[in-house]
Amino acid sequence: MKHIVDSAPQFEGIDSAGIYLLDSSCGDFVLECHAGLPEWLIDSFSRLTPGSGMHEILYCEENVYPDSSEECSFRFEGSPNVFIKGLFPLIPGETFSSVMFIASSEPEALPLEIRGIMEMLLSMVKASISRIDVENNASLREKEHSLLLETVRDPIFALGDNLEMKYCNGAFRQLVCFEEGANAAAGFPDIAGLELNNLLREKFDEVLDSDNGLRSLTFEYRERIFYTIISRTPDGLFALMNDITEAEQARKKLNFRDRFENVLISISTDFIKMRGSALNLGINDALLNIGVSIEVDRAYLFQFSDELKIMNNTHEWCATNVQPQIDNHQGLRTDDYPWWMNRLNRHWVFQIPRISDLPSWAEAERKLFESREIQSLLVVPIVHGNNLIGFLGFDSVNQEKYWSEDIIDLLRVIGDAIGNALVRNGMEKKLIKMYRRAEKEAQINAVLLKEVNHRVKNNLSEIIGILYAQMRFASNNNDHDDFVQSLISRIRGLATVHDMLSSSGWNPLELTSLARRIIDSAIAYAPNSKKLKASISKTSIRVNPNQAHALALILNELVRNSLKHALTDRDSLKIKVRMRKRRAGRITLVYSDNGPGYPEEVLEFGRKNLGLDLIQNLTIKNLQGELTLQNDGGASAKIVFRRTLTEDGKNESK
Amino acid sequence: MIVEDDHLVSEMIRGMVEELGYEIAGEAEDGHDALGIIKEVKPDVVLLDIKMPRMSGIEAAILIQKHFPTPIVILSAYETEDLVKEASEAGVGAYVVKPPQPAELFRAIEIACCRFEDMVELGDIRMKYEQAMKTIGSLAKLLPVCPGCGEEKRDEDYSSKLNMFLSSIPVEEISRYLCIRCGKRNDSG
Repeated sequence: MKHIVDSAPQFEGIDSAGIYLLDSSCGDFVLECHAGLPEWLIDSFSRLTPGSGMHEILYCEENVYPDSSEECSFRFEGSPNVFIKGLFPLIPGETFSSVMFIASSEPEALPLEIRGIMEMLLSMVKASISRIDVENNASLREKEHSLLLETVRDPIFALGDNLEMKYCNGAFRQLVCFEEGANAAAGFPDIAGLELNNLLREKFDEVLDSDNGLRSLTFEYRERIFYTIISRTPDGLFALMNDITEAEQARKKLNFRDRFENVLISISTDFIKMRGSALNLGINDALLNIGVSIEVDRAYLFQFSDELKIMNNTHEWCATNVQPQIDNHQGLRTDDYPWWMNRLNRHWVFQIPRISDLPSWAEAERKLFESREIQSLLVVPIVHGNNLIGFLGFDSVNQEKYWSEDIIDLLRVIGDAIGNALVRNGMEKKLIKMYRRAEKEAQINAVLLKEVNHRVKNNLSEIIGILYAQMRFASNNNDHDDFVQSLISRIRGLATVHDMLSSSGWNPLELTSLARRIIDSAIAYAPNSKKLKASISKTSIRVNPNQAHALALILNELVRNSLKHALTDRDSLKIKVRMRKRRAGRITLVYSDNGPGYPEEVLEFGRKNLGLDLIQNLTIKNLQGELTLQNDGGASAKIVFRRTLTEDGKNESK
Repeated sequence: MIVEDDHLVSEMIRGMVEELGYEIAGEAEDGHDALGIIKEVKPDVVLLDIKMPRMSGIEAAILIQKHFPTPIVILSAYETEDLVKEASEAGVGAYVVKPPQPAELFRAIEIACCRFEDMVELGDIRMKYEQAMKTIGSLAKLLPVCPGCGEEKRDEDYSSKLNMFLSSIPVEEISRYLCIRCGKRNDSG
């Protein structure tokens, strides 16, 4: 017992320990052995008599761990004070005959890990008492000894100096499958078997050679995990194998959950601020963490495109010595994997513990998995809203594997988080793209607005110009109706070309369309009784807005001229417009009608009216071109000008 | 004079200017043609468009002010700050946005003419100032006392330099330099 008490202060959180035994003759508690206690306590409390206060504490069932004393903490008052952190009955059923206590100078409650240690120490004490009893009290019945040993649930054994088995409890016998009644005094390897002997032998030697005579180790044996304390006794070794399998599994589960929670937190928080390559790195990191946590060989992310017709492996993590497959998994057609897609389309999480168990209609999938040496796999769909956008996959290459519901639930949450991140990232990309497009459009619109402003002002200036010009020419013509009609026709011509140019965004206009529109618009106001036919040659020639503007006004005047002079004595008129490209960017436009032709004085530019004045000046000034009037089966006007596609530059008209 | 490449717009300007009582001295379709016509017709004021083929209004304004200084009014449908600044730096007297009100065009023409007169006057003053500075420099050299040591100058060519300066004084300015007695004699003579 002294040895066990001595070993207690070696553990962190325990300063001192002692064992009180009840002296049945007088009812006092006697401090049987102790370690680390101050002198004053040993002197003052070596014997606790009933009514002394401390005696009652030890004698109170409520204070004894583990029944209800989890928070117990009592004080030996002196200098320094000693705080009892735990009271432990040594023998169940004899609760108040022997109590071991541990203490420290700090008054904290008993820490969890110390309790575990104490339970083991206690088991050792129990076994020690049992042994002492066996040795010292030959009259103790065999049955009682057995009962005492059986109270310890963990395997216990004691060895002699030559490692021969001196005794062991039922838990140990059951563990090593040792038949009761067999040669109990055989050597440890004979009883425990070679496997356990190999696990412990080295520690036995260490304990025998060490100063403090105490060693501990954790090992796995027969699918159980044992935390084993080996202690030196006066005549050999004593060992307690504490079965910590459940605790270890719980710890592993806790670690697993911790790791998963970290991945989840990372995905839910870090992913929010991640963009582009940072998000890719984040997903790769998450796949690594998940892959390691659930002990798979490959973890990957697929994303669908082209309305679920194509799937691409976008991210992948592989364990060491496992072949990456990301390059082989690009542009896969989903139609080729019907079984797979059938499940994903239903948003099912599914696992394939054994590839060979796949149904016959999953032949394509089976072949693919076998070619990748996959033994088991788990698939988690990534769904956003009600749309399938991808899936997470986890391959086990080295062994067949089955994943528990716990893991699947967590992976489902992670899948959702990754899905949100992917969708958000996609939306942000789209938004940025839209924003840039809007910005560009706004810039273009700002330029267009300026251009519109300029054009409107210019058109207004031209209308005023037409009015001044008509006034100038009106002195020879006092017909008010004609004045107004001319004005309307000219302003309409301006409006038509303005409309065409604004529709095209002030880009170059196709000459054929321009001519067609102007002529159609001009002849629409001819009397219904007259038959008019316009033929316009087709051409791909385009002219810049200023030239289009001038040509529109010229054509408007030419048609007005035809309607006014050629149609007077006729019921029908044919108008022809021919356009042709010439060398050095020059364009020829010939307008003709089949009317009586120009009078001679007009051909010599001797007589002028406003229409002709406009045709001539617009050709010369605005187009910087040449005008030729002639009679060729009717009136014919030939305009030659040089085409400039840009408005800017030295060859630009405005 | 009107410099405008759009015939109908030039019709507007012509009509408006004539209404205001001015006469059209000439018309040109771009800056390049304008320079030749200005030399010939010597207009009182030039109404200049900005965006024109071959030579822009701003380029033309710079060359007009350099070779044939004339009041210039810009008439443009564009009204950006940059263009206004460029026009001002090119020596333009006023900037009017098309289509202007007749009164607005009148004011612009008058302001451009006044500004031009001011500029011409300023140019004259500057020329006179430069001439005066030159004369002061010459006189300073002819002071009979050395500005360094205060000694009277006795060098041999001093009197010949003085005579040279006096002979260079224009007849109309000679009275400024005469003594009182000679001045009186000059006045009476």
